[in-house]
Amino acid sequence: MKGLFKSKPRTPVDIVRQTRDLIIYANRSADVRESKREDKMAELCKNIRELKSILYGNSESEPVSEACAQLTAEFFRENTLRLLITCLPKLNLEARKDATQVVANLQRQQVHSKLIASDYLEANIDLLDILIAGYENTDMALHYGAMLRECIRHQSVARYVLESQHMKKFFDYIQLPNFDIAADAAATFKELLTRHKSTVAEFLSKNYDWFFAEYNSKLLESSNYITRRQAVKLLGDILLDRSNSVVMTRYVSSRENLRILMNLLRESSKSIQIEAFHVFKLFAANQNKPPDIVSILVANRSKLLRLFADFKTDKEDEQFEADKAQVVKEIAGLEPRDRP
Amino acid sequence: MAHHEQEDQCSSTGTIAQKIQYPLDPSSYKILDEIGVGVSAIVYKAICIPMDSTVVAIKAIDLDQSRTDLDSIRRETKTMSLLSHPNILNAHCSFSVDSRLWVVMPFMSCGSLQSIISSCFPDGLPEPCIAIVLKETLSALSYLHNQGHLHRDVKAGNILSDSDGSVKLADFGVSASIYEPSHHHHHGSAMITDMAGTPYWMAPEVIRSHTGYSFKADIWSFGITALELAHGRPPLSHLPPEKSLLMKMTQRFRFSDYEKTLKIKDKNKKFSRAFKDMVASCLDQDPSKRPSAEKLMKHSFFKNCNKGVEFFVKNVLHGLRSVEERFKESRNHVGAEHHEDEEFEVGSSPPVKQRRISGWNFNEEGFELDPVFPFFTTESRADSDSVVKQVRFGGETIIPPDRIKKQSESDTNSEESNLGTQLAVHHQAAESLMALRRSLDEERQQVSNMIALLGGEISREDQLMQIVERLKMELETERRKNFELEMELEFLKHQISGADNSGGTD
Repeated sequence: MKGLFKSKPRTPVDIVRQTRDLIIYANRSADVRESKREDKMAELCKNIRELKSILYGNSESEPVSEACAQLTAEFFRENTLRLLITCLPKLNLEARKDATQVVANLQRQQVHSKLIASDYLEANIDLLDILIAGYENTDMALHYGAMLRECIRHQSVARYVLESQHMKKFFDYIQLPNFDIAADAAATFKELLTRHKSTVAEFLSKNYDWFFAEYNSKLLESSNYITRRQAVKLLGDILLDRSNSVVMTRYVSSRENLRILMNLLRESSKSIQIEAFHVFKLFAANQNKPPDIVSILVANRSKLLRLFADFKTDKEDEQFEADKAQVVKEIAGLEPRDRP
Repeated sequence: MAHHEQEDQCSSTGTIAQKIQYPLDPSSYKILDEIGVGVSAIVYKAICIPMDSTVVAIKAIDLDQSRTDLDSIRRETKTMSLLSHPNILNAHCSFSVDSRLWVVMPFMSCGSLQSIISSCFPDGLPEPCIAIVLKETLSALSYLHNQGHLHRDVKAGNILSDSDGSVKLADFGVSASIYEPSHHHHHGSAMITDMAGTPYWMAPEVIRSHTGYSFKADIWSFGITALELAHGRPPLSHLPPEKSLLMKMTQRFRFSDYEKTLKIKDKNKKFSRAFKDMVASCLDQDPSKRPSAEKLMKHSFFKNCNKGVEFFVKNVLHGLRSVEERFKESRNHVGAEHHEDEEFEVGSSPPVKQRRISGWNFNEEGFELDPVFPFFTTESRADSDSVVKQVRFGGETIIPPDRIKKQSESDTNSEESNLGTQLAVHHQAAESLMALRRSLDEERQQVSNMIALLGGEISREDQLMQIVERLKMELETERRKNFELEMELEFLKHQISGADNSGGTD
């Protein structure tokens, strides 16, 4: 019997359309019978899984690029992404994970060698507000967080987030007590500040004052070990990036910044010490040190030299040793300024 | 069974269960006992005071250890909190306490299968119980693989059970996801081509590593775990890791001793044909021939496993001493069995890096693994590519030179007590190098024979000339490697005589 009525296989476009219809159905108020609703939800979950297996392939087959392109084009032709994002809290855990993977994958799909996801998001940039606010919802945070990190692969989207008011909220998200969520927010924060070099450099120059004031007080001087450790590592990555050289020069000319870094050098945690060193060395290597920086370094010279004398990485690291030797040489050779 | 579960999941969409939120501060928990310790983590039994004093396990990971990078820990806890399956150990929550991360998990009162067999079933579990444990574990693996995750450290030490007979797969410290994009570009983070896992359970393609590996590596480890449950320990594990690596290199010469001890033990044990067949399919050299987890679920060994968990509870778990007692005891056995308390180890890769076997042959009759040594492969001679591949490790050292240095330093620094054992290690190393050299000579001989043979042929001369050229180059490489080995042998001899002398002054 079954064979007689075998319908022809659904195309990727069919599946996207059906998914969209089912989401619209799910979003409607619950004026239908509970059992019927459940059936529809189950069907929706199945469709999302099918979308995933087209995009990622499955145990039997690799993804087919033509099918992926058709799926992507149909997905962004209408507002399926918005529907899927807003309907996510209604889905069960498995469907949420599938949907997250679908959304993540779609950001990389090209249609006629164009990333159409980027255009869609530019036109629907408020979706980013929903994704970022996800960090305030324990159940959604990891799903929305993963989607968010994929969306900011597009430069224009990353620029929107950097320049939005949301940027300030990340300083709190990173320190949420729930480790999974805090770590996810930290990963997104890092991505925002390292992926698109020119955008990041522009952002940091324009927002230098408030950004580093927050960075220092909330992150580098946080009472939370993980926050300090991640922040000092990220600071090193940012300042050592050539595209941020202007920002770096400004950062290492500040006496307050030096004080904070010297405190991190004194931490009992080896990992934090090592990361702090990679920032501290920039203060020492600066050939145009302002007088107050020089005087701090001179005043603490013997302490610093003693610290560096038995300062070692666990693994042998030639670069680290060379940097250390250079820093020691710089500090040892500093001439004390005349003081009144 | 897998299907059944998936349907369940789909039909439960109407009611989205909100996860119970455990408190995120250490003062809400009271630590009762230590129940496990690894390289960078300690596992405690504790109660959660505001939750009716529910018993929990808390894994406290030391974040300040150089081995643990935050990204991989983030992946682990994220994986754990997003998985939902009755046979997978979830995390209730995780939060940081100074430089430690506390991962709060359900408490599994019977502990790991490894700790159960090592304290009560040194010769392995009865087959029906093995079937129950493996079936539950396989169900977890099947779910994981469907989710795109590799576990990468399947072993009895990571299979936990509770007094009600429930079985859960734990420890995602080294797990990887094929959906996680960062795996492919990130430097330093756990790439899928990285070494991860624990040596005895590792699949050949993981050991060889350059090709990367996939779900089928978990199936191999699953097969090894089956042997572990059947015999009480994984194959070759009666040797300490350092030694076993050397032995794996040289066992050709002394493997018979090992086989003998095994046979005596195995006389009392009879395993069903279905069990042997199931394990054999997991331990196929060719990953593509191993069944997927889903397919393996349909194997007759699991289909005919109709004994319920009650059987497992009654025959294994009943009357078991508490996990904390067993942990204390295992701690008192200093150095008795090296892997004793590593079931909760969090660090990514094991300390042992030098694994040089070309593969394993599963001996279905003996129900054990026989190692295959790269120098003695007699088949596939004609396929010069594969010969080159299998002989490739010649240039690499078997004992990392810095370790030798360290050992010799400590020798001269008059660590007399250790001298004996270290000398033994040196002797062994020298012996294995000798063996390698001998085999290289053999290899070279065969290559030159082949060249001679091919040279005699007149027809298809051009073609053959090419082959001869290639073989000559191989020979050259072999010679160079041989030379390097000789140098190393000299060096080791030197070390030994140095150690001998310093021992003599004692």
